Amino acid sequence: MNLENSKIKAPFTVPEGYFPGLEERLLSGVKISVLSELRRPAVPEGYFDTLEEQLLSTTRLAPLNGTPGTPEGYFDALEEQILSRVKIDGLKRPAVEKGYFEGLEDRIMAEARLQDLPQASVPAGYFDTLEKDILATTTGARKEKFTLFRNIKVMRSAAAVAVIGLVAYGLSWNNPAPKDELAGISSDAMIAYLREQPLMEEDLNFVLEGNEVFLTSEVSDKEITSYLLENGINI
Amino acid sequence: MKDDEIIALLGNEATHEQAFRMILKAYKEKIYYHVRKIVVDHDDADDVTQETFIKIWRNLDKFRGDSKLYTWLYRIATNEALTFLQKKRKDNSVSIDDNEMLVASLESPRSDTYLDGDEIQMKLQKALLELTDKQRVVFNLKYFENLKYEEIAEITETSVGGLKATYHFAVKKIEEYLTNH
Repeated sequence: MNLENSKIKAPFTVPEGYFPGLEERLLSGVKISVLSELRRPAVPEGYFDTLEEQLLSTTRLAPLNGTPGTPEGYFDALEEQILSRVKIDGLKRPAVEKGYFEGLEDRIMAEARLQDLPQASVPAGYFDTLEKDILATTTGARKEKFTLFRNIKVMRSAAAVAVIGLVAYGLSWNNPAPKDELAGISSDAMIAYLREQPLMEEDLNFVLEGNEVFLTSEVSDKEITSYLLENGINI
Repeated sequence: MKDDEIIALLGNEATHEQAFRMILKAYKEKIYYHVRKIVVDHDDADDVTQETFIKIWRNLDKFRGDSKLYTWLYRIATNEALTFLQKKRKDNSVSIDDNEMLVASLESPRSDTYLDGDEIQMKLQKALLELTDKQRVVFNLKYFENLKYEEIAEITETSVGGLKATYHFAVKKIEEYLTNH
């Protein structure tokens, strides 16, 4: 089909009497448009040229004056509004015990410090056996350095050991073939054992029974010291 | 009535209203049909025509006589019609080249659609809606208004060479549509 050789018209029509009415309506439309422009109030010549600068100057000066405009009666109602909001806010806040806030800061800080402490983990049941382990270690293996002149209790203990030693020596001298069950225990083991045992009065009585003569003999510190050194006891 | 007389009246602001009345009398139908071919629907064409003439009135003092009066008028009308269509598509959330709503106006005529054409006329209009807006405008001005390419170039503010190509492709596309439908 050759479109350009066959002149086809457009099928569009308009309502009857449309164009005469259109002209009138268009004139009315234009008049309304003109009137709406006329409604704009007249301004002095060059008004809009300086308006922007004037507005900027005003906004710059306003904070300097410190008196920005507020609606009439604004501050009268402001206090009341704030108080109302404070009351409402107070109602929202839960009650606390009297004096709760005193010392609260310290309590929080203490709690925070506790939580900050490093917490090392330990094997299960560690603390149940800890005491026993410590005792076993300290009493079984550790030898405390004997300081004769610093501790009177130790000195007394040493004296007691010396007495016991003498007694033992005496007994062995009088009875060269001991028959008791402790005969197999060495003197060092015995001394170590006795050093760590509280020596009660009845124990002494038991040991010295029949050997009271030793209690009456005076033994000086010098003699005790020299005896201990001779027997290899470190003081 | 010659355009020269109107242009002479436009030279004096005091005679602008007279010039406008003359423009209205001379061009209201031409502008209406030009717009109608773009927007298809009569009510839409009525709205756009009114907006076009209000814009013409407001811009009378800007007409310098550099172009022909009718090309200036058609340019305003074309721009108003195309702007109207873009807004309508946007309001209906359809793409920029979607002419479905215009096709619907042709295919389901209401009592106020104001269509009175034979089958080939209706088919041509449907074929036109296969084109882009710009192709349609160029085709309408060349085919129905018998304007020269130079005049259409002033209205559409495009080059003559581009217009010739646009019109050529538009004709081919329409002929193809008419052959296949």
